[in-house]
Amino acid sequence: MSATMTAAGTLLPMAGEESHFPPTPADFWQPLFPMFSLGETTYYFTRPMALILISFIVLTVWLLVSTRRASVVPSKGQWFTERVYDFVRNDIARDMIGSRDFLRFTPLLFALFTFILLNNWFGIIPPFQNPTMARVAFPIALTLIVYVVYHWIGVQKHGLGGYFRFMIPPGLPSWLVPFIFLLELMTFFITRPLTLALRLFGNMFAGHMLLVVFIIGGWELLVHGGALSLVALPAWIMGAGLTVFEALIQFLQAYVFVLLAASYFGGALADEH
Amino acid sequence: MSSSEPAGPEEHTPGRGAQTHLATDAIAYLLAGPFTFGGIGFGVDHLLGTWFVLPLGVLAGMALSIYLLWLRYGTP
Repeated sequence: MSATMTAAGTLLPMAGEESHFPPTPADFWQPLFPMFSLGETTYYFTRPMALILISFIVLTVWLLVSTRRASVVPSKGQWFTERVYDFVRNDIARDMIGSRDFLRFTPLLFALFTFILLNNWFGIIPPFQNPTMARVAFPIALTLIVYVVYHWIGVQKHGLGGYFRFMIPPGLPSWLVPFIFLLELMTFFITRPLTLALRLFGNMFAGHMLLVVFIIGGWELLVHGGALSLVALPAWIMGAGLTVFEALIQFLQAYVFVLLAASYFGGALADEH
Repeated sequence: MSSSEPAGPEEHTPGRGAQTHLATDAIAYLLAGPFTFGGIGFGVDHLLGTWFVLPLGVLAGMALSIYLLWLRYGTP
């Protein structure tokens, strides 16, 4: 940990020549200024941390301004906010959790959705151009919230013993029950949060890497390519096309994260079989 | 469970999350099987000094995962 924390030198790849091609995972480590030191380790304030603060401010201002003078006949801003809210409320929360319990989870799901979506889109919006969720700690933190909530409400609804009994699907031959129980335990407690966090992280990380390859790669071809410098143009056209594609992926990943969170809540609250 | 929805003629519609019939979650099940039983196999191999329990565990785990997916998503 301390090695990567202190090694600002990882930003400088090759001796002498300042090159960022091909991009490496080290390119995602972008310290802005040191905050404090604990023993050997210096902790930096990084670019994703700045972005997540900006997203927090932007979302807060947007929601406060667009709902401050809320009226029955909405203004344009209020109408847009209501569309986003209705999407999360009806198409995600009510659909997945069911009409009885969904309302108390809607604020959490709405907050998660807008937060993840804006932070993902930061990946392609200049001058931010760095998806916050491409640093794995951020998706892990969000997943922890979801993880605690769905186990908590499951235990609350079924009781501790009942919650474990509830994990076993009906219609099993009795000799398979212990094996399937082990499998379900593993799924509920380990692979579900793991896949939830890593799906978001991996998509944002790889998508950003792909954009960097085409755009920086085009630049490298233009500058150092010689006869190949003509190829820079198609590389940039590809880069522009992939940026549009990436916008879609970034929306989709925010949607999938919240959809799965809602389905875990709904699953934990389901009636006994 | 409490609900702040106004009481209306609407009946309670259960959420689809109850059946968790989401293809996106299948990966969690597919990973759980090989990892769990492969892990057990690894431990057994380590204890007994054998080598074949780990691959057997991975295969059995895969089979159980697929069976569980079929049971959860594939049966009416």
